[in-house]
Amino acid sequence: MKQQKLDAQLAQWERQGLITPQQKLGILSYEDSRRTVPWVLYSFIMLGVTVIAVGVVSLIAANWSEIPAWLKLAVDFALLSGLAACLCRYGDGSKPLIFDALAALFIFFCLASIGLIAQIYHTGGQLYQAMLLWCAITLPVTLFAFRKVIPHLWTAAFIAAVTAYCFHEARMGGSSGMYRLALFWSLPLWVFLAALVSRKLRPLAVLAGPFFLWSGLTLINATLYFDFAHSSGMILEYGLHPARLLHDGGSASVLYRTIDLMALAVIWAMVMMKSLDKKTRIVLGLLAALFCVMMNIYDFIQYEQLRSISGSYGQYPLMLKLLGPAMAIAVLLLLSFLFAGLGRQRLFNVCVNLIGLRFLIIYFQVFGSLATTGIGLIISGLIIIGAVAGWYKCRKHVQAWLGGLLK
Amino acid sequence: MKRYLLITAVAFPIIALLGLMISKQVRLSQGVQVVLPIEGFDPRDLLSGHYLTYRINYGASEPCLAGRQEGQKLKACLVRSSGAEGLYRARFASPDDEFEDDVEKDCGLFIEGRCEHSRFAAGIEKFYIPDHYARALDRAVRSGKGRIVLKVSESGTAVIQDLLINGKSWREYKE
Repeated sequence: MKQQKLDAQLAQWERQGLITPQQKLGILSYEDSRRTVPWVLYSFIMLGVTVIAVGVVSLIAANWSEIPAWLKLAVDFALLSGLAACLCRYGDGSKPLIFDALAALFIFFCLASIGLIAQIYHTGGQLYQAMLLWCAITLPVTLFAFRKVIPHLWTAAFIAAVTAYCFHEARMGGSSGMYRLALFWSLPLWVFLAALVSRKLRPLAVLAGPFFLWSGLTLINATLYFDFAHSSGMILEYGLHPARLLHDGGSASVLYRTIDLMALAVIWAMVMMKSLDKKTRIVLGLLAALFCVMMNIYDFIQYEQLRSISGSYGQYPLMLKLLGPAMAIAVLLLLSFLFAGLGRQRLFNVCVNLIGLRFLIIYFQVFGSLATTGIGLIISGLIIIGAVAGWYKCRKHVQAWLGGLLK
Repeated sequence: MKRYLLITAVAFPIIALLGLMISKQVRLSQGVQVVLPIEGFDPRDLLSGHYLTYRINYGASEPCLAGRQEGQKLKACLVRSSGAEGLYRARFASPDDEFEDDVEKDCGLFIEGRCEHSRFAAGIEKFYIPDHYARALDRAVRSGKGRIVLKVSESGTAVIQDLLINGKSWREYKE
């Protein structure tokens, strides 16, 4: 499809006299030389490898008690060594697809080997320990991958391992529980800092993109949670407060102060990191500040008192109900600015559509009748159009002012 | 240069896993054999298959119920009981007892663990078994026929050697 489009464009430019036939041939030969493996083929091969790997893990999990332990371990290490040898064979970059497929298989086989050792020696460790060990030993191979699939898999596994660590005990008791909870709720900021560090350190550069993605996903997750907990009233009804898991003298202030410190670190990094575009730095700094404000709201509001005052969902305070969508829309708005600045039109459109959708849902949540919903939506639409018109009129002044903040 | 880095990168996980395996094997081949009674149930681990998870009957009252924090380290001092089976029992120091610091001196054999979910846990509470044995072994353990065989090192690390049902290895057990 891409090739047909290129052929058609070149033919048109040639007809218009913009390029000569020699130049057309030159462009075609250049494009042919840099043609890479089609992403569809690549994705299906990686899917196949993943399915094979899951099959291997299941085979090991079946626990073949008739086969002696030493034989199982010997076969496992022989297969691992064979895969390692194949990886070295294709490490020159001549066959990037084969290398990545083998690397994915090798990485999954390392996980299966951890499972086998745990099974044979009956280790009583936690799932997060196995996952963190897996991430640690497979990080070097991940850095050699030619495409982003393996770094994305590794990052997802790492985030899952950290989350499993945070919640490996349902009760967040003592000081360790307090810090685990703080780690979990400040995850968007930690992951963002990890992305910045990866971006700076050349060998880890392939992990920067996946870390940025996970930072965004965890931020959206935290925002959705905040929105849902407040707009549905469940924060009072069922106690969806982030600090609800704290027990045995755990102090919630550690949670909020960790988030404050991390947000400050991100803002400081944005001020200092001159290699990034100024607008991007401003928006990212504002996102960190907004996340910090959102999380501190949990600390400022006296939910216990509100619960005793409101009594039932019917008297649930309107301000609390609006707080959720207000935060969600503010985060989505900043994300849309970020994507607009980065030239990601599709992601920008997704954010704008989500903002529109959230506006619609607010009125159904806050007002019962269709008439009030209709009036509310018309007023909201007028406010949005007015704000956009105002922005276009004053954008140069605002940009100059925002730019001045980072000078 | 890149080639050597790649060789190092692929060799690293293999060496790490070999190290893990060897350390487990060394612990298993050394240490003192200890047999303790167990009680339990059967969940499933997606990574390593079925396992029995059980509560070890140390023959002493639970040390993590009061006066100790979650995650606090603790030592179970093992003493061989006089019964025919040769089972071991443990004694724990009370939270305000000075014995806690001197346990290594006072005690010839001990297992190091920590308080998890208000219970003493030493990482030896799982025994992996094949799918088709799971139900029978689960029933046997529930009915109090189970014993766990451990190897305990001088440093207090315990590794599982075998699961006994009615005094025989689980492989020989028939309902």
